[in-house]
Amino acid sequence: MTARMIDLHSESVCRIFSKFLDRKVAHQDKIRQTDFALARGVYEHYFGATDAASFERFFNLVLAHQALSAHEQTLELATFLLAENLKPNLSEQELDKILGSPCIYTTIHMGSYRLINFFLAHRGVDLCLMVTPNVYQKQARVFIETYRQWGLNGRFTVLNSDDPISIRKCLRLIRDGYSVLLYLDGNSGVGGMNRRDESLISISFLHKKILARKGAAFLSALAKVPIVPVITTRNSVRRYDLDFHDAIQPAGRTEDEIFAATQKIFDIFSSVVERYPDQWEAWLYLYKWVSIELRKKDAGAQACSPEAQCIAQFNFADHEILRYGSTAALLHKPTMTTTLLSDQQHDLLRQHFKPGFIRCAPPDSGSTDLADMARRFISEGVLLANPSQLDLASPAFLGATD
Amino acid sequence: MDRLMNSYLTELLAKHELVQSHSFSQLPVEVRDSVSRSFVALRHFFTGMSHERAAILVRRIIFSSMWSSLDVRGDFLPWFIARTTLRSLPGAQVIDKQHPAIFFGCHIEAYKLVPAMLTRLGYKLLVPVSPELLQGELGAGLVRTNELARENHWAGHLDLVDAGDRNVLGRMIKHVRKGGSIFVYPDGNSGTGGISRRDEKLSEVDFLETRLRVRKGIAAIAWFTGLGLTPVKCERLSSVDREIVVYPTLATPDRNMERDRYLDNAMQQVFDFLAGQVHIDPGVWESSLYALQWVVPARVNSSPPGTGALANEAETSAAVVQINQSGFELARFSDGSFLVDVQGLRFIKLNEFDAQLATELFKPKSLSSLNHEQRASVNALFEIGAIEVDRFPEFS
Repeated sequence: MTARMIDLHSESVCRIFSKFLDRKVAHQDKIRQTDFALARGVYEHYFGATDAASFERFFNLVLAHQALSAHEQTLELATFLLAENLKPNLSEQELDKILGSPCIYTTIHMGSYRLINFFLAHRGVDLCLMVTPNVYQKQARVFIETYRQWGLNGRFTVLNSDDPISIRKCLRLIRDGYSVLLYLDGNSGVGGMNRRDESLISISFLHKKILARKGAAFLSALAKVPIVPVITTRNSVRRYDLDFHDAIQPAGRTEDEIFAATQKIFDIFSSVVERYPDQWEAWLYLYKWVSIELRKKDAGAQACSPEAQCIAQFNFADHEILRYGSTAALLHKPTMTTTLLSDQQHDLLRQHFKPGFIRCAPPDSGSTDLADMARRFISEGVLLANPSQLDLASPAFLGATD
Repeated sequence: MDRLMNSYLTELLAKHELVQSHSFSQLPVEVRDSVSRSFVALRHFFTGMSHERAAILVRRIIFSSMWSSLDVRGDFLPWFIARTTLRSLPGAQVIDKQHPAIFFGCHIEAYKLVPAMLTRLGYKLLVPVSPELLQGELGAGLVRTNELARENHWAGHLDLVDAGDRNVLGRMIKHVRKGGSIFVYPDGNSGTGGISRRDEKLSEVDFLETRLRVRKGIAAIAWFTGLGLTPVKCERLSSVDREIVVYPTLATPDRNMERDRYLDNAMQQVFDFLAGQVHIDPGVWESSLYALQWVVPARVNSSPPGTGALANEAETSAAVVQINQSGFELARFSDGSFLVDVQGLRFIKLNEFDAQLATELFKPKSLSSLNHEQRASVNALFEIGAIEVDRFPEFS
């Protein structure tokens, strides 16, 4: 059984990673290209500028880890991984102590994150999983059925995070001996992941800022139970680490105390993401979290007065074109803001994915034609008119083989 | 003039398209060798640089090189000389054609314009070049510079001397003593003994994250003439605007210092300057195409070898194996394919079978999916540290 599963798992890893590493973003559909553009914008916000070809490898690795996580949730494979691969950082006695009383487990979509549920359930922890309305509608029953199939004695329930009384339900469950598992990286919390309101706080993350929900710290303070950050990472094909971090003891409900507890949780997440960035699935939707912080910043467009005839190329370093069906939008990465493009504007910009000659109207000429549009794009830094900055690795050329 | 600019930009675009649209395997053999060396050099000079990043830089380097040649082409050179501006950084020596100077430049950005511009500024310049280089655009540009100097009655003049000549150093010292100036590219691929020269007369310098063995002729000229070394660079401000930047003079000879110590010290300062420039943007440094030959071979931090016979152990049959991509580069040269330890600079020649296998192993493979012969090869690669076992592909 074990030998067969080792073979099966190794082959899965090879198959999934080989498939994704071969992918060229330029050959993907528009939705995937948009995901790529948004993820690159956010990644560059945290880690600095990267070229398209290097980020393509990173993006493909993120997708491969995501696909592997989905693959690893089958009962047979999850059972094997739990027995053979998953290595907690605590001794049996330490685990018994932590798992023996209700607490709030906080985690992120990192490594083989689905194994956390499985691990806790196998250790007999009564578990309440809080998920987004979307996940609740589509998968709550599947989760409960899967749990039943595992044939474990512990209790398991799923709560809809959008339910206005979810906190009250949580408190009741905690008093009844349940622990709560929260994925804090973006797809849960009352109001869904696009929510923008007072219950979000701006905290440090990867040396920048991120908008975080303070629900975990708030719940901890209300229920007087500790928060235990727990994260899985794929150390090697044969070894997955399951790291329980120091418990953050419940504090008061003042803004400062809630902020401090939330910051402690995200400091832990930050250090793990910094070490294993490609194992963090949230890059694919993180732009929804960081946009408000970024919008406060100055766009800093590269002003330039083009000559009447010059060479211009789309500025891939700062911009991407996003496609939503038949609609095109221009993404300005330093601010993560988007502007809708007309068909004419879109065509003009796409024509300059490769550098080429462009005719520019003089300023204030009153012209409304392409030449005027070109001048405005250059003066706003959307098109670069300086060949020193020509991009030899633009997404338009990612199909080239080296 | 618009027609000239149009013609220039059209040619520039064509070069850009050429570099961008061809894969490296389509390049002529002699260019491919340089490209392969450049991949290894960049990843050696910049520890942790990924293959993907190096690939982009190499394309930019080739484009930059073609671009600098275009600037000195006969029809464009006068136009650029007229358009190029001069800027001296604070502390830099005043440009004064009455006083001799030892200028040096690096193969960065529009470097081929520098001798022409110094001539235009009135210097009587002596430039060492190899006879082979005179056949190319640089040589044509230098010859054309002298024609322009004559036609336009410039005070400056440009003389060339064979860089491989045994007496080149003496001629250059004599030239400076007579009031002339010299211009040298210390990161060039010519000079006495050729680029592959290896002897005790070379100086060892720290450069980025490695050590190089370099010629110290320029420092010797400084020592014997008492002048310091003045760095000059030609930057591209836009498609058609250039600026000569003069930096503060380095390594003015100190007579209290022992000569050999001065020479080593001066060359270190020259290469510190170069390292600073390369660090800003390695994608415009043409010398990376051949700089690998200057690297001092002995390195200590190469990839540690794997131990044990990996492929023969039954229990490892399901192991996931792949090339250690952070430490190795698969380089194709005209005399075959090599797996190169980019830190230790070990070149392991591969036969066709192993080269094909190594290419496949840039993605993870299960050992159980390999046949007996492939396993034996993986085992051999494992023993030299080129194979990682059970690691997930990484992003560096």
